[in-house]
Amino acid sequence: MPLRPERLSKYRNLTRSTEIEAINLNPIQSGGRAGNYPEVVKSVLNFIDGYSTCDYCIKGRLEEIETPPLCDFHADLAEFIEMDEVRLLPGCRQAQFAAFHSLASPGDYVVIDSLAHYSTYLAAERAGLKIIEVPNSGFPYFEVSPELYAEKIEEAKRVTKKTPALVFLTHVDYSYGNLADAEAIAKVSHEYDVPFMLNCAYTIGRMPVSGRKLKADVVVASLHKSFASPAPSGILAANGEYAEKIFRKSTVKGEWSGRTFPNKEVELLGCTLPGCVVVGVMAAFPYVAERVERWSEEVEKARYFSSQLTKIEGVIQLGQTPHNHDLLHFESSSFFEVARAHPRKGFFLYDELKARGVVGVQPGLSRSWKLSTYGQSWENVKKAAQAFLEIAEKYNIPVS
Amino acid sequence: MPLSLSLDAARKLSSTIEALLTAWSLVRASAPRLILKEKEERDFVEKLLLAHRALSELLSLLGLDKQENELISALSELNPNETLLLVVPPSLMRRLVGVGIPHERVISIGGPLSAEDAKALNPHLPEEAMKGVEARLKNFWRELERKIKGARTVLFILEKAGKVDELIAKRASMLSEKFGVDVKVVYLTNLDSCVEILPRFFRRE
Repeated sequence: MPLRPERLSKYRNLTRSTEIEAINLNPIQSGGRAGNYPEVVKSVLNFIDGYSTCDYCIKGRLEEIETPPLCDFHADLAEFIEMDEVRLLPGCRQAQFAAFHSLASPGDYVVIDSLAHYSTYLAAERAGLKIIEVPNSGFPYFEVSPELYAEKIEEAKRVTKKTPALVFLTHVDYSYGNLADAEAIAKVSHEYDVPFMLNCAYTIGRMPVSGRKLKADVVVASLHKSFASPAPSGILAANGEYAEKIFRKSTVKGEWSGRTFPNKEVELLGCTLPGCVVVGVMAAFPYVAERVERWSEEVEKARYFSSQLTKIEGVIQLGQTPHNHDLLHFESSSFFEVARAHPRKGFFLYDELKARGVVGVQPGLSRSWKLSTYGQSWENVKKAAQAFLEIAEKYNIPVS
Repeated sequence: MPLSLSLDAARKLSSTIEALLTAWSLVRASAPRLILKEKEERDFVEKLLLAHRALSELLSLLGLDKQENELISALSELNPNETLLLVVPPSLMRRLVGVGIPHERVISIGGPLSAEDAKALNPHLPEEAMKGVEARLKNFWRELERKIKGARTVLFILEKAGKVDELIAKRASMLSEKFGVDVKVVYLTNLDSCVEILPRFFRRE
């Protein structure tokens, strides 16, 4: 049905100026900021047309296209994260589902950390799997210990008389930014001969990650979260026999037509990420390969930021201390008290920060909030921290 | 007549955009302080100049630089104190005054220079509308008589391929006959360029 032009006018002139006008500390946006990298912007523009990567698709598979160099890119990316095989998918959640769906059967158990992203739960549910959660240590550190993984694997064995289909760990969780001891948990997993899957949504593209070193059998990651890439984009990587299972070829045959698709990979449903998104990911790669080498400085910035905010009475940083990642979670009884008496309630903190050129803290939150210092210059990190200190002083919250 | 672009012109446009996008990325990366240091500053300047060169070459390929040059060349021979500008759309006059051109140095014609031309443009123009045209022309000539005092040159700034503009150009000599002034006519494809150029001319006063 034709729509009136007035109704369509709101879809014109879509713009966003957040990244130029303010210091953006939104933790889901910091690592995926792509516009700061000229080659990414240029490549996305050049490949803006839908199937633009398919001019020379001879073999019918994305990772085998030679121009633009997707074939080389897949190989280089696999080497970069030290895994045997890599495929690109439209997000980490799709990658999780593909791995769960290939490596487990409906009704199987998967042992997951209790800090896992909600999409891990949904991916398992969609694959018909049952989950067993590994508890965390709770307030204030919320850490997951390798020993508890062994307990939960035993629990799954008692219930099902067999080992779980998979052990799953979130490398850095999205709530507290804790860096889990992946290598130790992989060791536990392998002692039970269970494949170990690692979610690197908050690590690959930010910090050096080696699947080989961490003994991961399957690695998933979000490129639009941590790889300076356009959305939606993610990684599914696997080693050896698990790669063979996950990236198995189609065997279907049309019962009437006789059509077959032996070159297509079933879990990927064929081609996954054509056009400007995959080219944007490729163009981001040289920047990412360089920036992960500066990871220690990013941790230093986060720690500095934490040290400044915890000078404010009533503010504590949750999760590992000293912190090992740029994602920070703060809890503040003092800001919460201010919010209760403020006409704007919890929105006062957002308003005050915005007035000081800082955004990214979720509007309405004052008792606890998350932010990320990733990719910010030292000047910006200091200015953002100063903004919180100024707000504390304005509302007579003591600062030590 | 449709504008025909060569492949080379399209490539120049791509180069301009790509260079500007790179400059834009560098600005973004420096936000919100927007201070570029050393390498970033060098890259930024290099990209801006590259964009400028590519755009200049594109304008040249399209012949658009000539029109701008034509206006600049015409102005170079004129004295801002003795020049009166004539433009067609009242909106352009408002823009020119808005960017600092003295109100006394610019007049908007608002349409054809004679009732006959108005009728030629639209033979079915109703009687009432013709009265409106006559009233506009009366105001125009009155304003012209007032503003032309002291002017030696009247510069018509007209839009290329504009029907009204063509008719006005044909009658431009009326002014020299009536007021004894020099009359010059400059055609522009895009009238925006005169909004850029003319304020510099009048600042020479």
